[in-house]
Amino acid sequence: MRFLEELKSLDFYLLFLVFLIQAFGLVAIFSASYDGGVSLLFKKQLVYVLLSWIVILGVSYERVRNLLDYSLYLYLLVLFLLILVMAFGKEVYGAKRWLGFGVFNLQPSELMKPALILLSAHVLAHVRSWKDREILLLVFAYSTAAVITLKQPDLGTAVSYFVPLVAMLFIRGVSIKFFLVSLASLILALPIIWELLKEYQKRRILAVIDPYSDYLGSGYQIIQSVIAVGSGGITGKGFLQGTQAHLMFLPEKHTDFIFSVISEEFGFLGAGALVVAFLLLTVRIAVYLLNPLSLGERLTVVGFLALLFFQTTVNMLMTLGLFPVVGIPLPFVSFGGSAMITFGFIVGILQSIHREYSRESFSLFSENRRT
Amino acid sequence: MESGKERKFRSRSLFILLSFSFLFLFPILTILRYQTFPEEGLLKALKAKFPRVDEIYVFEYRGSIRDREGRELSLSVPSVSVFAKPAEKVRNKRRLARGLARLTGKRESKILRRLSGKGYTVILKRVDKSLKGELIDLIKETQNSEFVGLQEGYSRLYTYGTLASNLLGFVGDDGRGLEGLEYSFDRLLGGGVSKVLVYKSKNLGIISLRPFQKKKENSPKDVEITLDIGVQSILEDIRDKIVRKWKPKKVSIVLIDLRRGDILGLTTYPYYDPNRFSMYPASRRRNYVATDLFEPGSVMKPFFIAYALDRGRVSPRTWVDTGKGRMKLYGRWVRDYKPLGKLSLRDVLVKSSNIGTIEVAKRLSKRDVEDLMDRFHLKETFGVLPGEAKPQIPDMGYPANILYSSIGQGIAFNTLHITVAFGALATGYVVKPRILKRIISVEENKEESTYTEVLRKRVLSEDTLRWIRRTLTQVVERGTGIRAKSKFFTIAGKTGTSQKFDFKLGKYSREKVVAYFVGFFPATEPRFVAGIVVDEPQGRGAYGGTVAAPYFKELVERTAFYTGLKPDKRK
Repeated sequence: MRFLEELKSLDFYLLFLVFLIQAFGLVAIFSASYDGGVSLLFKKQLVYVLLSWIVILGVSYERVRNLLDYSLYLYLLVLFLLILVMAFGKEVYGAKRWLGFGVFNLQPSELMKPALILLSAHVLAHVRSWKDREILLLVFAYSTAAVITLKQPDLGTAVSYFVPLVAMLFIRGVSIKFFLVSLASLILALPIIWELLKEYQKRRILAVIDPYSDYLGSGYQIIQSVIAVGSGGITGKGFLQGTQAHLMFLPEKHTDFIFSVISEEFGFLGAGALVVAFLLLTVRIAVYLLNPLSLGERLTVVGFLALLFFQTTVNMLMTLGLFPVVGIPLPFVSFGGSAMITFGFIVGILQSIHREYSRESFSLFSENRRT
Repeated sequence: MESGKERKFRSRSLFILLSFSFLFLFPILTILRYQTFPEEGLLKALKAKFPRVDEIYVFEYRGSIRDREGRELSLSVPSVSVFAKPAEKVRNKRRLARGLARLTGKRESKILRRLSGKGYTVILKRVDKSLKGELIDLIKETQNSEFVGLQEGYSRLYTYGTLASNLLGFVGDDGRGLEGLEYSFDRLLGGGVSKVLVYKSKNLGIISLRPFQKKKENSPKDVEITLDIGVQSILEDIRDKIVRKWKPKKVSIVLIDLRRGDILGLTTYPYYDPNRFSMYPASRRRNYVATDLFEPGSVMKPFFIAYALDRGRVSPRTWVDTGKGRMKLYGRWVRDYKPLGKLSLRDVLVKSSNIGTIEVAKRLSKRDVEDLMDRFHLKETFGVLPGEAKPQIPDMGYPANILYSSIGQGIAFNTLHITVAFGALATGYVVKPRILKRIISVEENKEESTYTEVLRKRVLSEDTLRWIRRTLTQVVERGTGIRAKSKFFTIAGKTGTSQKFDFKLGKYSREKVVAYFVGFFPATEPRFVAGIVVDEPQGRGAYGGTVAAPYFKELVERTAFYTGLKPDKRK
């Protein structure tokens, strides 16, 4: 009975949005991988979605406080997996990102995202000044993870480690001056770093920025994606009717370019609805900040928020040809088990935070029950 | 109390939320822009953004036009064109030009002149596709791979050259029919150019970016027309004889099978070679049989007289006094070619008396004449040939217009129109002329034949029909059309000589005339109706009876024997 009581304290509004977005993704993957019947890819994705819900419900019972306390161990565990990838990883399209477990391939770099967010939230909540030793730990944690990920090579994921950190530092109260100075120095340093690189290193980085460049030449992906989006019109071509996606014109359509499949088949209305769903999800998570959270919890929420927002918008802009193709999947929508479970984990933690504050009735939420 | 830290946290959270929400607008607006863009706009944007995206032209096959026996009159043959892009960068021009001239047989100086152009320049068109390999070798050999290219396509070939040129029309460089039947059957024949969006890859060559969109209804079809090359050749031979002897401005001849309305032959002067259509002015490429109006002159008379007889306003025994062969009619003099005195109704037609016809027409009211025009389907065009000129019919509310119309003045029809109506004097039916016989879809393995459409039934009573047939036969046997008299076949017809209205003088001209002969044969059992119209024949004594009638006889005899008719005259 207690289990059911506990269920009632979940944030159904947020869970509904997650479910809706996942459903969008399932429909799109069904279509993108359609081969006259239900494809293996679709079945796999269905399993991943179910797994993600187990993770959401499981994690929601764990107290955030504990997770923050153990964040260093969590980080070390994921780092270990990441190192294993270097040694035993599977190579796909020239990138070594996965650990093979028979039917399931684990991508530890995905799990590294929430691990780093939790670690930073924990550390940033406790440090008192820049000179604390923990800051050094954070610098080490980030640089190790980033270097290993860049080696795979996977620029997109490496960059997405840092975006939440920036947002968290901002919320932590670091002065605006610091951000401006770092931004300026980064911009100034970039050409110098670039010049110091050797020719083959430059080429490698360029290849990372556009991972498909070797495949068909720069831009083919984006062009196809833009044509697919453009041919969708207001109402789209209809389910399974997209010509670009179905006739093999659009490579990688089920992963990074799933959004163009949705745009082609469901048009502006479908794609717009998905964007709005993501927007509502973002707003909903932001509303959590209105609760009297501890600093560590606040930073966690902001980190997750930033990660979700970054991946969503960058993926969409990439699909629309407004951003370099850096291989960032669309959360809850793109095909992939690791990402699905990672974001399930994130939603689970958010549920745990929500549960804590709704039960203690500190909440400013109007729809929360009194106890 | 809120601490300063707490306020800072709040404002910064709000800032993050607002900026995130704002950034979500970007994908939404971009999708909206792409998806509501007109297709052309999207392509433009793509091309501007990605230099590797380009559009190439793909020429599609176009069906052929065949005669009624399936002989190909116009067909699409695979060909290549050679272009320079840009012309000023082409290397070894002299050697290239010499090579091209040797391969294609075109003049070297001409090729060289084209090569000295600027930008995108077409050097040679309609080169046989079998030369493609040698052309590529030549381009490579002269190191022009980057600047000279080949465009594969189809060129339209008119197998019989000028035969039926003004009827067939021609096809433009874009593969679409521009005039004539090529124009009116354009949708059936298909062809044309599709633009294909491609991606130019370094390693893989040209990749199409979209599935090739080909609409099913546009699958090219072969079109069989009612024309018969044999009949057509006879008509064109006769046309040439008329042109040689009379040096007219224009000639139009048409021959129609009365049973089904099939246009078996249709020819014009001037004519042109559709294989080189661009070398002729547009004025020479019209189908004068349909596009030009002529006042029918005396050819109009049998319609009025037969109608008056049919309505009982006159009887076969009516005698008409034509007086001294001249009368003043609403301020103008109307004359017969000589005073004819008192004439029987039949002789009014046989001798083609203007005054006699006017006397008969005086008995017709406005309503009668409008009914007459309607019965013979003279008020509207048939819509079977491109550019059919609408008839000019004056307001019959004025009696003067009725009277002048009866002798074919102030009223005008195109040659096809008057010929088809004349056929109703033979059979009592106005049958819609037919040019499209069959549509053959090779891809779908289907055929579709067209049907004959009867526009007017029993326009005259049997008695009237018999009388007018006999009378029109007499025109040829002993009247103005005697030069059309044949030893083998009975011919019924009517001559006509209409003076052209000279706008400079403000009156009908003496020299400029249109000479007519319209008739049907065999008169005993009409099978064909034909019309010969000669515009502005030169020389003395140019009348319908001299300029058109003798050729009509030749037309009758040759087509009758060609189509296997048995002579219906006893020796």
